[in-house]
Amino acid sequence: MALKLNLIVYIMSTLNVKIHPVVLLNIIDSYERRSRDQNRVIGTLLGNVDKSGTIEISNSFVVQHREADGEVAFDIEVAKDLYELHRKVNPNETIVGWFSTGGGEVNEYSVLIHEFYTRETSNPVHITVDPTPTGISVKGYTLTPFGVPGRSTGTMFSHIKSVSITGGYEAEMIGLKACMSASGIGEGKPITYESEIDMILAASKKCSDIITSIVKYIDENIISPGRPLPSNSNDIGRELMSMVESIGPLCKDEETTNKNLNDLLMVIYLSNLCKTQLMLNEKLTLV
Amino acid sequence: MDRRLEVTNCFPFPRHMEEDDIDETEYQYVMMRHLRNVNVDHLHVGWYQSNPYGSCLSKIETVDAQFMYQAAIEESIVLFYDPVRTAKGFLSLKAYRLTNLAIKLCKEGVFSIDTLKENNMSFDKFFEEIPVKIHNSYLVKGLLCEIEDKMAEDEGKQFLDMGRVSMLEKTLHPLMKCIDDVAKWTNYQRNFALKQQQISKENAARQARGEPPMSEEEINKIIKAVLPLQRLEALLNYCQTLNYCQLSSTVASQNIAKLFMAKGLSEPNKPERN
Repeated sequence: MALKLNLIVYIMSTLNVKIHPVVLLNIIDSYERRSRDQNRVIGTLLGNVDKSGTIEISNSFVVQHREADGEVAFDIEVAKDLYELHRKVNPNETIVGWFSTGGGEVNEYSVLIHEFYTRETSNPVHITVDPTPTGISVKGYTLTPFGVPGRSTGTMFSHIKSVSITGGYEAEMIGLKACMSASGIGEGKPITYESEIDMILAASKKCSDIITSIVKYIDENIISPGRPLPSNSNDIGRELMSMVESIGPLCKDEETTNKNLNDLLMVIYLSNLCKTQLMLNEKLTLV
Repeated sequence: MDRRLEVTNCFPFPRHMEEDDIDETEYQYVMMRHLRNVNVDHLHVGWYQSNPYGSCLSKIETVDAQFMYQAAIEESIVLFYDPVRTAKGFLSLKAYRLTNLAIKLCKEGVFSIDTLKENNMSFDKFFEEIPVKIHNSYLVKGLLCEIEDKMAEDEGKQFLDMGRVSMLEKTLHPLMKCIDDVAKWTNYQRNFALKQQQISKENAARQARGEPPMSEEEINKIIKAVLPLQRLEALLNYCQTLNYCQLSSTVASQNIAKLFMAKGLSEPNKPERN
């Protein structure tokens, strides 16, 4: 099986799959909530297929099933019910495939479940999400027919090469960033940002780190004597130039800055005044 | 005791369309049943709402809905999500509850000067904010690590955007509207007080002449009694104004900080402080 998959990898790489992180989070959650005797959790993936064939997966739900002795008990009614419920909220999302998590790779039951989804949509994708010791592995598969035309034919799962797991909406990614910093990813300790200033501060620190490493690189590789220039030094120079240019015209004009500042101070002053006014007014009317 | 409410799942409600009539209770029931079947926590702990520019907090519908939730399950919260602030790079999720005082008053349903005074109620005691903490399971954290590796460096960095004036402007517009309403209400109250004075003067004059004081009907001709709902609306309007005031001053002060930072960036010749 593994050998066949490897052979087919390059043929299928035209298919693009973009998974919204929210979907993966939901899948992981469903895996953690599985029943005690259950190995694998499966469910439906909802999303869109655009004209260029990119499949965007933006939503998902779990469907109960049981697998034993070469048979799968899959609750088709529940799958349809839930799909209808989801359609009521977001009519634009259609079924694009199914996911399974836990229980490892594709197996003989997968073919049976895939058959059901082939009836629901043309060319469904199958995503497996599996926690492995080296990380969470996300893989995509699609079904490819093979065999001799007119003779014995069969189908097999083939690997989708291009599976992007960062295809979320803008707000989704911002939410993710907040989750990451709350879990202490990147900074080493959990941080919840109380105000935007803190975020800006953290970003500035990171920025200054990046600049330090750029300067170090330049010192070591470009302007140090006796070393050949790296081949992409022109590109580096251009990038640096555009970076410097981009902060040029921000606050050249002292007057504009001051005006801006005055406006903002005015807003703060007035809103505080307004607050005081409210408090006073209430105290006076209730006496 | 650990006073913590954990929110582990949510699902959206269908949007209301005029033409098709969706039974929300039925929808909720079916959805909850399916979720329960796959071991999702199914205790109802509140609801969420999008809340652009913080405009929904003190609406009478919000108070109504939240009152119903808290009456059914005491721990219920309402979670507000501000898409506008979030689009600017700062995830804005806020949890609120009605205070016990507000619940008590809502239950009684009387919002008169006396009940407000008696309970020591004021507009800033209507809602209490519950601090929100994001928490994830270890597997999810693992996944987040993986996603972070694959994310572009500048993704989710919209908070560095300087052009916040338009947002400030949009926060100030509803603030002005609220203040207009406050002004209307104070005017109304002033008139009310004047007319009350007029009545007591008239009564005193009549008493001097030996006539009976003004009857209820006569009083009603001069002043209309304050409707109880009207007072609640005024109260909520105060609450909303306060909310806008706080929001606009935070936005403004953060803008000032950004301004100074940008100024610092654009002055290349400044000697570096160490």
